[in-house]
Amino acid sequence: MKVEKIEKIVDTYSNMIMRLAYQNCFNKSDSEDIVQEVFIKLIKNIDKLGDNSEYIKAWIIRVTINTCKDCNKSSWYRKVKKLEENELDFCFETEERGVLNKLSELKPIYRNIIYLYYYEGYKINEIAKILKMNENTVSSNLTRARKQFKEFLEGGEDDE
Amino acid sequence: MSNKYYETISKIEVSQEFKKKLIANLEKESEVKYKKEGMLMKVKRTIIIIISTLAVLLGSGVAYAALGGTINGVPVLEWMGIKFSDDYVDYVEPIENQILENDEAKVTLESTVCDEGFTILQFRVNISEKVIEKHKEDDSDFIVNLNCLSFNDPVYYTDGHQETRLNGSNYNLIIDGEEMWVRGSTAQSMERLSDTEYLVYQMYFLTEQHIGDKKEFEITLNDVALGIGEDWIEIDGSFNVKLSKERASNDTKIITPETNTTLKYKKMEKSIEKIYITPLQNIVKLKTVYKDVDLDDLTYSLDDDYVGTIDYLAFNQNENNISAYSTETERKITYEDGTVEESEPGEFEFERDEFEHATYEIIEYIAIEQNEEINQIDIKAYERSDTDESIKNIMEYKIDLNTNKIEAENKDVLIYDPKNSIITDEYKIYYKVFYGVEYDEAEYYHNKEDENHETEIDEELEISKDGKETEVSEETEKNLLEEKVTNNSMVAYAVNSRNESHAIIKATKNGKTISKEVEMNGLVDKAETIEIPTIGKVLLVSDTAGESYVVNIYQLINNEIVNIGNIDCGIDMVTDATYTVETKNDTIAIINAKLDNETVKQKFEMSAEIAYTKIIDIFDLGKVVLVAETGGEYYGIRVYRLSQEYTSGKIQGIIEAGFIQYINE
Repeated sequence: MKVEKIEKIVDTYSNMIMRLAYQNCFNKSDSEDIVQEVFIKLIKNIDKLGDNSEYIKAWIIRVTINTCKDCNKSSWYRKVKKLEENELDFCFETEERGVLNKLSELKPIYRNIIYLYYYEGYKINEIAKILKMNENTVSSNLTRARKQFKEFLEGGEDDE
Repeated sequence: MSNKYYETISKIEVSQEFKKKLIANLEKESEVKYKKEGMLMKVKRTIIIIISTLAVLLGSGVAYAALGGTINGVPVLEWMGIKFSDDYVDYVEPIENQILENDEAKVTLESTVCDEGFTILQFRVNISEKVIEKHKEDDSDFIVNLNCLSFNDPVYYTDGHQETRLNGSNYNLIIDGEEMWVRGSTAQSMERLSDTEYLVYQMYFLTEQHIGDKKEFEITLNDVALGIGEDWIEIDGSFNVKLSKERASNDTKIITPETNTTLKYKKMEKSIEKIYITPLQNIVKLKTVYKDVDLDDLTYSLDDDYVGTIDYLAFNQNENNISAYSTETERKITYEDGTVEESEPGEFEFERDEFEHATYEIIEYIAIEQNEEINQIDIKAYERSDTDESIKNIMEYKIDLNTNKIEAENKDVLIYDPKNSIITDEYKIYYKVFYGVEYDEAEYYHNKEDENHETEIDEELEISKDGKETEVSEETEKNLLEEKVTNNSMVAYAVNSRNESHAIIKATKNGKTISKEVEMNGLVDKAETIEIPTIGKVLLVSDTAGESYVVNIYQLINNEIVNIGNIDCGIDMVTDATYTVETKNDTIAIINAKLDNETVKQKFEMSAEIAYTKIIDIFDLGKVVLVAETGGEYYGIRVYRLSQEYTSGKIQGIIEAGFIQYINE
């Protein structure tokens, strides 16, 4: 594997993986471990993934979420999962820390749907395929997630 | 909301420092770790990848053409998994004046088609510009998308927010005024023509269970709602669709088996109930009954009567694979007291925690491709093991479409067994059908690796043939045979609840089963039973958490499941290392480890006399060296292995990775 190729894929996808990982485990060092783990999986499978960048991106999202799930399942992780304020101090303003804290109170599936929908701009049918969920369920979950998140952030106000 | 979220999430980035470290690690990883992977793991991973691939491809936003059209070159219905005959278009019925609309959207039912199995409705959906603009209010670049067209699934309002079925509709179709839940046999796909226009295909698989022997029936679709963005648009009114399968039925031949087609496998019996030769396809109705079953028979994968996942493939008279689409319409359990419980397709979920002497039934339909050249259908049932991934052809039905004769035959043909490297041509067909790609194509790069793997095996054999560096000396071997007290050599071990941090271990001896639930430090990964000289049969259960990977060793001692040792097989373990051991002065073990062209030789002094040494495989993680030592009452085994720096691949030396204690019963 050529360094240039690795550099290119790290440049293209590392922030996306980090964001997904972060909002699943809310811990910088775990997120970095997940980023590395996902890239190792990607490098091992790069030959089979072809050249379609959209496909590779969707594959990475799926693998990242699975890796986060594995991480969350381990018993030691459960014990230390509580979001540490200090952990967030390193790069976030007070308001942003509030957003992340509130985000951490949402179910992981809601966080991922919100991320894929609002940040990555995926459509609901695409999210359904990536997350292997029924479209109706994605749609309902998105509604619920949005509602809950709004309530968390706005104290129940609807900003529409 | 989205702005705050967007800004916050945007701040989460990988630092430049970490990027540099990451690139360096990945570069080394791609050179070092890549070749360490065993063949088994690769096959396993490939399957996972292919499954992911399929899932992603299906969501890649492909455009669907109208009925009879193509998606990426594949006919639209075939893409859905259904392959109709070319006569299909002759049976499509155009529909007029079935339009529901309001100022937000318009839904038009344009055509229907149905036979003895499938009913497919084609709708055209138009969304008003006003709706699109409303959804783009916050963000002009936002793409508004129709997510689904929902029927018979009322929209509820909870605290001003819309919800659908999750709030509890108990039917999804109304046939001749009767509400019913059509299980596992509905599918919807859609073609986006523009921002405001879509074609939606709604498929139902309706059988006599739903419509009895009626040739004509009416489907009512109430509570029409469009899922747009995260909102639902409700449209008043309903579609009342009169459907007739008269034409298709007149051209349909029904075969009822004249001979007994029941085949038995463990406690499961399968039989063909009917075959419908419609103008569009051949549909085989299969009934499966599990008799006199308890919970373990159905859910505990290591139970003797447990049946793995069943898949079907169809072949023609020339043994060429033909398209087959199977769907489940009924799944129910009848408990010993007569209580009946239904469940969703594919689910093995029961309200009772324990039961015995129950009857479990599944009704399935297999829709098989039809064309003039097919005069015999061969349906093969495969059991995919849920424990070792092997696949076995267990049953076969040969249906002669000319004479209507059905031959039923039990089989016992292993088509795939990764442990023993059995990969048959039949498995390659299976692979293509279920994973969507040619096996050889998916595995092309493995072949290169396999060549290396074979060379390594040859090298190992050479070492053994030399006789100079045997793993166990003749004298030790003799002692072993005499000493082989083998705690529990008649014990059968089983583990359940994998993929959790708790493992339920069951040990069965002389018909008596002892269970123990143990909490691991990480996620339970693998389990295997092995025989260790002197100690006897033991159970290995591994758990993993991040970079740590520990193999825990259990044994049934005095009717209790006891943890007798652990082996650290963490991220530094070297998969492909080979070992030889020499002993000196009764207490010194000299271990030689070889990896590629690098060799490491280290001396270890035991605290007692060495009884024997042995090299064993731990799952597919690699080999370890056992050095057994004994003194008086004491008997223990030290475990050694090579350690490698994870990121650089640099050999760090041989380490003591664990200890196993012998406890006499």
